[in-house]
Amino acid sequence: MLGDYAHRKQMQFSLRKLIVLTCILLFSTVIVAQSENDPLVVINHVDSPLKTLTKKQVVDIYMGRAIQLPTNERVLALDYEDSENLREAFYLQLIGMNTKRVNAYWSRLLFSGRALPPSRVVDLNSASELLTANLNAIAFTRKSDLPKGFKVLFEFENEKVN
Amino acid sequence: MPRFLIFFVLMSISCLTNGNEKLRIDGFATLALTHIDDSDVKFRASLTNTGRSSTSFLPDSVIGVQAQYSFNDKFEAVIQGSFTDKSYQHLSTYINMAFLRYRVNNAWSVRAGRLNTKLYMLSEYRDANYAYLWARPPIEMYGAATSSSKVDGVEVTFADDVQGGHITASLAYGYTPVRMDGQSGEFKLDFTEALFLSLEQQFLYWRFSLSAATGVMDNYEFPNFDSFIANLNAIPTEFFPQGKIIADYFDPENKRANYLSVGAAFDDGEWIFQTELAFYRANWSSLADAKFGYISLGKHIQSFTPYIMLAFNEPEEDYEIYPLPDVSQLPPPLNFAIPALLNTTNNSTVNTAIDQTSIGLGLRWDMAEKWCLKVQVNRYKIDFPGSGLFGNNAILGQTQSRTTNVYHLSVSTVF
Repeated sequence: MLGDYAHRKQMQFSLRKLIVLTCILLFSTVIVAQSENDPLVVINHVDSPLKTLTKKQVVDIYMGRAIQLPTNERVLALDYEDSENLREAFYLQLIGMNTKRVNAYWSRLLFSGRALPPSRVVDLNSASELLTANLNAIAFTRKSDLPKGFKVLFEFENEKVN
Repeated sequence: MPRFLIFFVLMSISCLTNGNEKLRIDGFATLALTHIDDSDVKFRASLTNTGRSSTSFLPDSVIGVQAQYSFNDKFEAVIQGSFTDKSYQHLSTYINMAFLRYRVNNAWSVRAGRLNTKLYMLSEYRDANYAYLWARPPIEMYGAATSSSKVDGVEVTFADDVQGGHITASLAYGYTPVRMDGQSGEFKLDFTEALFLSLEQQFLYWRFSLSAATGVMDNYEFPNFDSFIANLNAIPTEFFPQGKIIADYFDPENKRANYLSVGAAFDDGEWIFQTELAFYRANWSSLADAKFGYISLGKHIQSFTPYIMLAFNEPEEDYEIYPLPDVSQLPPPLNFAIPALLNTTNNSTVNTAIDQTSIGLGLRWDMAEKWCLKVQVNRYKIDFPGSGLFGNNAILGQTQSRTTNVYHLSVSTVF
């Protein structure tokens, strides 16, 4: 009797585990699929004269190598305080670095007095306010999150990143 | 007192910046516990720091603040001060940078004021412990050279994309004040007409650097130094042939010091490697001609990075300890002056000579964003004479090499 009960409990436990794992897998697949169909974009305000950026120009700006836009204006690059998944995806696609390496990279550059890292804002709403106030400001987001009144300067291809 | 003053000033600036878009304040801090298991020598992270015995929070702990003010799109000011265990406690020794910069365009910029030179790969940010892997930069490489890593002068920098990478070239000119304090008194020396050239080529995973520096040693001040040189020169050569040789070797005035270093670093997110090699020439007793370097390898395993490091600093020529001659046939005052001068010479050599190798093992744990914990053990093999990077606790009587262990535990952050 006891053995039968234990076997039934074990079956129930295994079934529950299988359902949870399946849900996680399905959820992850949806997320990945969504990410693959929803590329990262670099954006600015529609009123800005800057129409486009190359990937190299985005790299130079976000990695502190360029302080000016192609229009010769001083650029204000925006990053996020939180949004760790978005940041991780952005820097991996931009330069192949995870955010841990990006933090160490910027600590070196910042405390050598050579350059300032992108300004961190809380979220896309805060970024939108700054993009509106400063036409030389740029930010990044998912294409599906692109707010009205802003345009895409550069769109990442759906690169496979390890 | 100056330490607290600079700390207060920098913290005040920090408080005043809220809401000011043109002013940006950043900081770094490390709280470190360091233990040396050798009672005959004191540990210090650089020659400009105070040697500490046994267990102490002072050798590796640091707090620093950096303020950057943008006057307009092209013109900005940067000041950085750090509160470390300096032996010479004067406000200016705590200022790492204080300069005005004019950015001509993306490629060219000019700086003037107190500049941190790119003398070696970590020299621009060595106090920001979070920015590098180890507990501290290897003392064999950075312990002595740090004393001349700042220059009060001007610098022109060019940066652009070259050969699939990004090159940064800097040329700086000015003078470098070196100030220390210790049991023997205050030490002052200026490297004048100092010229620094540095090249750095950066690729996705690799960085390569080449630096060269030259300067003339001037304005040397050390207690009783002038009378020591005068006494060496006063004794006729026939009685004391080494006198003038020693006087010339000990006197740095108007001698030119030259420095050359090469380095390479790699970090692909899995492996982290860094090495540097440097050569220094000055023909001066207190910082004898030497070669030094290190090699370090680590592996990123999620948030942990274990690493190993090997380092050395050895003189180009063996240090000379003079045997005391038989002076029984010489008349006074020669019969006591010559042994006294040779004793002073030998003591000075023992106090300043550097000749050591080390192996270090450590672990960095990035426990949260902008926070890391480091554990490191270094085993130093110090030849005799050769403990100059450490503070000596009267080891003149010992003439054999020694082995010393230094343990480190720290938490670092940037804010």
